[in-house]
Amino acid sequence: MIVELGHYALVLGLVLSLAQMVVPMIGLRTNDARMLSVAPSLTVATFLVIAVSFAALTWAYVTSDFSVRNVWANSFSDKPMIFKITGVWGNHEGSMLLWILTLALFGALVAFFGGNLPSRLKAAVLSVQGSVTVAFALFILLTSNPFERLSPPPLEGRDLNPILQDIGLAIHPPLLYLGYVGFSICFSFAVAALIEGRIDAAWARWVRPWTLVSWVFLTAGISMGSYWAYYELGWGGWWFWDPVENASFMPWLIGTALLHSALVMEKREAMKVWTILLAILAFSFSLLGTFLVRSGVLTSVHSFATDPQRGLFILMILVFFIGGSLILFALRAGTLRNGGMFHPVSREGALVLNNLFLTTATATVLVGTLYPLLVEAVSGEKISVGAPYFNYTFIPLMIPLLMAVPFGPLLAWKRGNLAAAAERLWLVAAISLVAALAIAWLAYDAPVLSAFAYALAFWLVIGSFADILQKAGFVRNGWSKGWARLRGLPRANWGTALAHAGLGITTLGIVGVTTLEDETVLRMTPGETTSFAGYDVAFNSLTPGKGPNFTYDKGIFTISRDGRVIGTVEPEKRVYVASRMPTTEAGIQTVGLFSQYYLALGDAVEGSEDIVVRIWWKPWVTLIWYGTVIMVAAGLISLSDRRLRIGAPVAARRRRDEALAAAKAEPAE
Amino acid sequence: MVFWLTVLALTAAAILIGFRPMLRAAGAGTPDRVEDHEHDIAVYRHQLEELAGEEARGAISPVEATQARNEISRRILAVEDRLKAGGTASGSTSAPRSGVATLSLFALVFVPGLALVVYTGIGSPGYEAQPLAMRLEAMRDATAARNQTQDQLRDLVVRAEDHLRDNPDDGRGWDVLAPVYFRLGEVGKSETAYRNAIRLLGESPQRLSGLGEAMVTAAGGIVTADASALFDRALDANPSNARARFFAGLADVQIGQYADARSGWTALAADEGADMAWRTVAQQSLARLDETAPEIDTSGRPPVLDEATIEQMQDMSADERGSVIEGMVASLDERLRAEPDDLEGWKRLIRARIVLDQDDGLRDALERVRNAYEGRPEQLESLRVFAEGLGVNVEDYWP
Repeated sequence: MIVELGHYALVLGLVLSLAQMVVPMIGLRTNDARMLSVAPSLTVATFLVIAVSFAALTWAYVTSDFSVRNVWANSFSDKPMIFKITGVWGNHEGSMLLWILTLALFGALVAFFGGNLPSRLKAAVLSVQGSVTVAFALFILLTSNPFERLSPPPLEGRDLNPILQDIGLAIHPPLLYLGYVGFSICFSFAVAALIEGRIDAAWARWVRPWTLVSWVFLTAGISMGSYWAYYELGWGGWWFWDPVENASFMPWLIGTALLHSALVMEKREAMKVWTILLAILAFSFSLLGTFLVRSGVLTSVHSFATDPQRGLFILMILVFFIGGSLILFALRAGTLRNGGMFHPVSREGALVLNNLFLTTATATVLVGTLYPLLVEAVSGEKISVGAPYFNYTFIPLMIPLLMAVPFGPLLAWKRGNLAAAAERLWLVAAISLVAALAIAWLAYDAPVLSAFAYALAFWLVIGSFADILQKAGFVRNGWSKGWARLRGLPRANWGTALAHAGLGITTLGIVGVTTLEDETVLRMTPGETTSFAGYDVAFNSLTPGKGPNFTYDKGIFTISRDGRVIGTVEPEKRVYVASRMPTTEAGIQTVGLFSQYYLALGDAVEGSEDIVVRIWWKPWVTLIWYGTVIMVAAGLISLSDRRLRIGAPVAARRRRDEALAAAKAEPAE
Repeated sequence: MVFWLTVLALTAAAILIGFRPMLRAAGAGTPDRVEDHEHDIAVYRHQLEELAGEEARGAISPVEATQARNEISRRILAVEDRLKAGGTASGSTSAPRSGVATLSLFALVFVPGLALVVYTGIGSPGYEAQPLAMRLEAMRDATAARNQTQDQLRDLVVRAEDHLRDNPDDGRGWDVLAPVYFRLGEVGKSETAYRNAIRLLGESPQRLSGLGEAMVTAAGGIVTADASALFDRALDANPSNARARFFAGLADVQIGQYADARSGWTALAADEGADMAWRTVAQQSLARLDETAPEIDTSGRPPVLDEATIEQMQDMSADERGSVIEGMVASLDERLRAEPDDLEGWKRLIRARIVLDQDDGLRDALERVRNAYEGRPEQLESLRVFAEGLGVNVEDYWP
């Protein structure tokens, strides 16, 4: 009964979201307060029934109900409980259910926290959000129903793809979805603003927290996914420019631009076109990502299902929402009244530059992702655009952007002074350069050019705090007053500084691991010891064993340096019982805080006890993820700042004097 | 029923949560535009307060503060302008009355109606959930129940055996016990019991065919000549005895008289007066016969067996299965000694010897068949071609 109840709840969710879409829309047309007033409660009801549906599917997984086709196809009765639960979204149908659950959740959150929104705007936002839910609920029920039943039920399931049986899967997709789908709220706000014809600073104020929340989750999700690929796939890489990774990276780039541009709109009512367009694009890229992953045009770990019918359906959703919103945008663009004016060299100008770089970078990633698909569609030839393409296009775009980052917060609103900002940053530049040269000198085999990359990373980390230090004004005000001012700084300022510093730390990790990494592949016999990258690796033993739903060969290696044991790693090769699929579990030993020794077992050598062992030395690699953790923390800190932002514009010198005179003449309010 | 009540409750709860605000009378009319604009002005007012705070802390200079204040004030003015303009515009539109009706339509008709229609279209309402643990338990229960009836039967048997030890000449006791033994799989005891019953009570079609069945089962599914005679006697006494009719058909199959078997089984399957279980078995055997008989000479399969035998053979070890086949080949061999003029029979025997890799047996069979068909080159030629098809050169055996 529970399974069928879940199925019914999903249908009810579709119908309620249809009501959520239509009723407020009629209310907006007829200007009927009663109809507008049900928008939030309908949103909450939609969320609740979809949650019931999701709970029912989870229950079917937990109890191994193989009369549900989806459970049979993706579960196994002996699977550990945690992977039975994560298996709910470890497949196409279940993950789409998670997708609409998240959609409905964000709608419900707007309904819940939206007390400060004008009723018409709120109703419009929820109506648009409802339309997205309708589209995806229809998609699920028509092409990928997770509640399809089997009769008679088989006695055993086919098991989940072994690579996905990992704790990383428990966290990575839900985080990523919270990010992806979070942008749907920004999209709904943008479309609602276009429908309502009100695009102003207050709108930007309301949309900002949602952008920030989505960005935080997306950052965490991508970072998690990268770490998962690093330790689970056994290739030792942390980013592959895989189309599916790109699919999540593009909304992140656009979302980052949106975050910055919404700031300008809130403070100065400028950059309206940018903000609205970015809000639409961020969600469009989320949809594109879903299409690429779900349609089967790409093959990867994530492509659970390859079904042209599904692809076509998502393509239709894609065309409807992206096309519809862009047409609406084109119709309304003329009515966008420009707000605050600004000089090219100013905070606003810096953020426009930031947007330009980020959107161009997104375009290069998009081309690199879609080009192989187009070539294949046109000529049938399979080509792959790998890391070299991205290294020559994406990275050259990132370098000037990263160089410019510390300047941004130092420039004043409306009219900035580049020379003054540069003056404040010369010390930062000097420190970065010295640090970089020191590293290049210590690691004598590193490429000389890498010194520049290190300098860039340090420049980012240290430069990020220049604004805060300047605001504290230790030199001007002395220590005690400086400290007091530092503590008194709004949390949003700290958020900015930390996020930029986190970016710098990630950059440092990337530069470190790229320039100093070392790798070897060798045959080893149990008992043998080898020396690699300054460490001794002793191969103690290779023992077979049995896990709950797999068998394994586990190697035990001791890593030591100058006779001092650093740690023991136990890389495994597993074969999963149900699918007969082999997987690799890497053995990873963190050395110091940031570097890692990474071992993976290869194939056994026929006719001997030898086994192929691949060893990587990954200096500073963990900094990549520590940086993202700092970015996430920075986002949360900024989110916790409930204050409203204001941008104090700086007038031209002549007008400033007049203004000062005016201010004197006018008594305090 | 419980399911539909739950569906109803879920629907009602969702509609109640979703449409609750429409019940509030205060919600009627047009949205309060003044209140809506208050939301905008609240944002800007907060911005002004923040500005004052920043200025007080010395974070921004008085000049900057003044500039910012002017900018924010302009936004407030813009909102107020909009309010005035909108106020006159919306003043002309009266509060629509259709709101409640439309909402009720949605809440009471559209939402529950569409949900139920769609769900009954694509769902499987009656299909209970099948958690694995529950299913395994149900299976264990079923096995236990089967074991229980077996246990009860065994109790019965033990008591009957006690009784017969004291009264070995109680024919009715043996008559009752014989089929029970058979059901319990004790074929040897069943055979003895049938013999005792026949000895004490005389022959009856039931007893004769029961004894025959026990003998066939004991022989691994082969209708031996003795058993065949029993079925014939049973049929003489009662031509409609279903069990005897079925086994007579099986005997025909085993000696290659498919046409006889087919007509016998067809009649049995169509006979409404016969026991349903036997009619079903006959039907299934017919289907199997239709499948295998036309190509029986080249398929390399063992001769057609009835369902029960095949099932039994699947449970047997390879050795046991081998001995059953061996037995069948031996009986065929014997029959061909008695009736050598059976070309199809010879072909089956030759194929069996080849498949079983019995070179001596093959040599023996080929020599005998050459003697049997001496002077009939047509038949011999057909045999030669047949053997060649199986990879055997007859000239090696017929020097």
